Amino acid sequence: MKRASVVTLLGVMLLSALFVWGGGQQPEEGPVTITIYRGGITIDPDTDPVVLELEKRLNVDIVFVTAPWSENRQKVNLILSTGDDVDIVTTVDTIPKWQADGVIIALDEYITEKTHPYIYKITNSTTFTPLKIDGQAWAIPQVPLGVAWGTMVRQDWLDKLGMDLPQDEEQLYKALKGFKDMDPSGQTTGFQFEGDRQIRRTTIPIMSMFGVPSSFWDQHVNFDIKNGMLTHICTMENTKAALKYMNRLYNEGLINHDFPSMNSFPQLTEKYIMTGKAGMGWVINPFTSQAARLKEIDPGSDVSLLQPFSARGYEFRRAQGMMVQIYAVVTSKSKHPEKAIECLEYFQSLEGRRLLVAGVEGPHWSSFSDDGIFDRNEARWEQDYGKQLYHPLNFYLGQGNCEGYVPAKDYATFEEAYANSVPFVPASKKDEANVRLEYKEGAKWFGDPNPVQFVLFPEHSDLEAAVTDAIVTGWTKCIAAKAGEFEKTWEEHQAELKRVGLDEWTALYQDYYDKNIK
Amino acid sequence: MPKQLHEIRHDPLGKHIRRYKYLYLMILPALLWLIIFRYLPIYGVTMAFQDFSLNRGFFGSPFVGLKHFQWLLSDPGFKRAFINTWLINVGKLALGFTSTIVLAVLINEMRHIILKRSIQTITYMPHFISWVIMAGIFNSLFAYETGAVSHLLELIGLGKFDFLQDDRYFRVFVVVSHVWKEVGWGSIIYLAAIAAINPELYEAAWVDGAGRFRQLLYITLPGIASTMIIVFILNLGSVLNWSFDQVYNLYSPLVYETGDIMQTYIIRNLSHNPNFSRLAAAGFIRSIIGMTLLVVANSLARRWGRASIY
Amino acid sequence: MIGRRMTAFDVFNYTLLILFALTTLYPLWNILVISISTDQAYYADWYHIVPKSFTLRPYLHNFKEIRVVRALLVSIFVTAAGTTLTMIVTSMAAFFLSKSYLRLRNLIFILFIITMFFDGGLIPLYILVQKLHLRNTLFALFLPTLMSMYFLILMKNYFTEMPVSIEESARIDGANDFVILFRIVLPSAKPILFTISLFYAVQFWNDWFNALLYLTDRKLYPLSFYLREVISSAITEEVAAVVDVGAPATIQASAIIITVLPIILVYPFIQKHFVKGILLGSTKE
Repeated sequence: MKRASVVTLLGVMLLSALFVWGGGQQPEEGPVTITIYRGGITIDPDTDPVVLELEKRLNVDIVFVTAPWSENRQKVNLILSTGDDVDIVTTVDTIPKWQADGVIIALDEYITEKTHPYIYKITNSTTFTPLKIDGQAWAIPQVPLGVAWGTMVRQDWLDKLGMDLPQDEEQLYKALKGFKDMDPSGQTTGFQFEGDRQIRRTTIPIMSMFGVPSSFWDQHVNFDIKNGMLTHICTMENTKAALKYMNRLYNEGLINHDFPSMNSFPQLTEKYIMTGKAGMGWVINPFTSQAARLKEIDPGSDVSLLQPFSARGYEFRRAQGMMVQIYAVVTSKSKHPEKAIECLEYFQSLEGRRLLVAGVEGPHWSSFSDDGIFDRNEARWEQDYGKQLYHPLNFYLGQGNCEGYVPAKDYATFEEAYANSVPFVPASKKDEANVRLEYKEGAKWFGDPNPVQFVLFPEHSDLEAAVTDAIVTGWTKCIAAKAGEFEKTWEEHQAELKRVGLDEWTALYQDYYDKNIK
Repeated sequence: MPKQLHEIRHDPLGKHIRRYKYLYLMILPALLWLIIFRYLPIYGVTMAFQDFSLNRGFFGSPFVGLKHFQWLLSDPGFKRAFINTWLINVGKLALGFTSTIVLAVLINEMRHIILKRSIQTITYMPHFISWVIMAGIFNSLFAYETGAVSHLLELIGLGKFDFLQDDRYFRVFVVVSHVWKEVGWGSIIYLAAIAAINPELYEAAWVDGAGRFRQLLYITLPGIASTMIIVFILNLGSVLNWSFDQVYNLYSPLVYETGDIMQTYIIRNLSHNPNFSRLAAAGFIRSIIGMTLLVVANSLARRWGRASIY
Repeated sequence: MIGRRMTAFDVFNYTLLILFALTTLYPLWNILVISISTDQAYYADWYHIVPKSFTLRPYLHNFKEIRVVRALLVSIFVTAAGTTLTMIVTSMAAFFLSKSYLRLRNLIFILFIITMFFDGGLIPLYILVQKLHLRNTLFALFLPTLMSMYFLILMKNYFTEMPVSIEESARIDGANDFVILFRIVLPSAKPILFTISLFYAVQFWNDWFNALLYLTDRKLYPLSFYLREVISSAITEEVAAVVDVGAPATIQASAIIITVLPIILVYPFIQKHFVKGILLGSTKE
């Protein structure tokens, strides 16, 4: 018996080893290999039709190095510190450190306006010039076409309650209360809320109606600039009023009580909006994604978007800044930097974008109009990519939701080109997909410029960490303050901000502003 | 072989090795692995004493001595995290140690074989569910207003507790939930140890008239005493390393005060300042303390005489 | 022990344990119910205790690609090879360390213990694996983390506790240490042997970190890594906004069940060996 089990064990091991090794070894040769690091990639570059086409057009062999998002940072650092063969890396916020470490190369010597219109224009644009270090460009910002976020509202619930879309904060309160009371089990809340770092974005609708120019990503550079004077928004009276309002909502159960630890947007939406346990929420792709999903789950649902309004006594202000999160860099250990940069430029060209967003010409689509509408071969697309609206590489190789094209070639500045960007929409979804509608709506809430958005002080990163921590903690505590304790909590929050050095931090930016922008 | 030969101490080393050559051969693979995979890379500990730069690597980065340690030990956030780490993890050690033994003993007392085996299997199931998932389940279960546990507690008259968001209860919640999750898996080693006790000892005790409780006290517990001591000392050595996954997934800014532990604090700090040397220094502090704890505990164990690691 | 009646204590014990087992069963049951729910049923139900629908779609989604079957084989190989190799190496080492008359024992043991606290971190290990040309091989999935000091010490302790008399009779008959270890000591050490093997096997089966570090070739990814990707993508917004595969929670749940199932199936076979140790020749110390 024992001998039999040992033999079986060895046999199993041998067989599985043979199977795996047998199919594994295939030395690749020929065209230049470009290795791209990007977290979260799950497609297989050896079989995906779009990648294969890319390789053909650029005469390269593309290899992806990736890691699940939760381990992204670790893997990137490992790869860079061990001199691994990676050409292109996409990163979030480490540019100054990497530049100082000598891990990435300056791009200017490789790019000219004629040969690399997109990269040239974006790195020399007014918006992104602050990113330059020592007058050189080290990273290519990856810019989505627009802000496809909005506050989705369950219109069918409003209809049931006989209410219109709220036009001031009292109406908003009544609507939320109505939503909650509709469910006798008490599990429904009104407004779904994110917590932790994401509190900066989930509070945008309410902050805006109280006149606070909040920011999508960067709370630490969230300054209100009036008459050349910088004030951080977390000391503004408007912010206090907005937080007080949210506190009132919280105490009446109109904001989900578990928000402080809800830092995963999909989990949040899955838990509340998709299950019909929330009637409003600040979400991404409200029509193309959320409403469509919701409709599948609850066919009676109907979604509309909250329109901007001012709280009484205040004046609505849009959130500020450009929604940039990710940057592409070329490593100093890259053996083919010119080729890598050529690839990066191609990803932004008209041809490249069509490939990365809509797929291969022929199998996946047949014709493309100038304003971005294309004829999709539905059967083939469904077979290759199922229900996905666009090819995932449009997101990874590039842009974080850039389902279209920025015509950098045709305009003098990047800002002009960006203002004229063309979203791509498959003809069959021209009305449903509503990508353009989402951008249009998003622009109502977002887009005032923030002149100091990309100004960084890496030598003060501890101060930055302390300030950001204090803001996130302070806002969370203010919103979740028990009835009657708001004033006290707000005072404590202000004291804490002073203690960690907010004044010092503001002074740094005031200084920069006075010297460079005024 | 006559016993005295084992006590021959005046063999020169070479002869000694040749005498026990088979045994020395046995340790060779493990030793080889140790040297290759643990000692060759050990120069990495120097990261805590450098300003590590990705490009320059270990041999090019500047040496800065105790700079990072000084920063950590003077930073109020880190100090607070340090205390929280101790409180939470020592709590887990104490509660976990006792409950794994209690569970093993109780399961062992079951006579009904099928029920015994099923209960054993079921109790270790939570061990395999990562905290990422478990946190989601707990968030629903223990929610202050809407959670099932809150309803239950209200029903039996204990009132509601905000376990996840109240500074006063968070630590206790972390300790108890961890023990609940791990007690089943942790008791396996004790069940194995109990299984190794000579059954004749039980028979003899039964004949002598000892009841179950006396058998437990005088046979079972002493029989697994060495395992208990070893496990305790080993856990003590790693005590400061625990809890990251759990706290990271359960905590929120509302409970930073009591729930923020060293690793979560450093991770947040890292997102603004990717300073690996600081991370390494924090790990080094944990290592030094852990090792000290192990050595001290082991010396005490040797003094006691029952069992010790070395 | 023989033919005992149920006492009050027994009733209390059974009740307590059954209640406790129910609480530990709940999360996995919850996940199981979610994993067989249709999207409709999942979104409509808040508690997920009583199954209101049945579908195997989440499971099929995980297995629809051939590379997942390949990943399964990789996992089986790594677990089998890794566990076997480490059990041989660990038991030999533990046996050595249990003999106090070996002069170099304490020194070597301290060498082992030091590594429990100090290690160079990921970067030097990564460089080493690279230099050894183990990157993108299956060996990288189990060699770097082959031994656990914790298990080694547990095993060593077990051997120390075993009465020497077992070996004595064999030594008198002229057997060498290898024979003693593998033919006599280990067969009597079934409880610890199976326990440690189980611990190691679980570790190898669930490990995805080694794959993350050392593999870029997708063909070599173990099952645990694919499942990690599934779980990670279900909670990461970038992917969720783009990909539409039905309720992520159901797929996530099925991934968890797939990971846990093998262990639950194998465990009963190991439980059998937790019988009272049979020691050769009654020994009374």
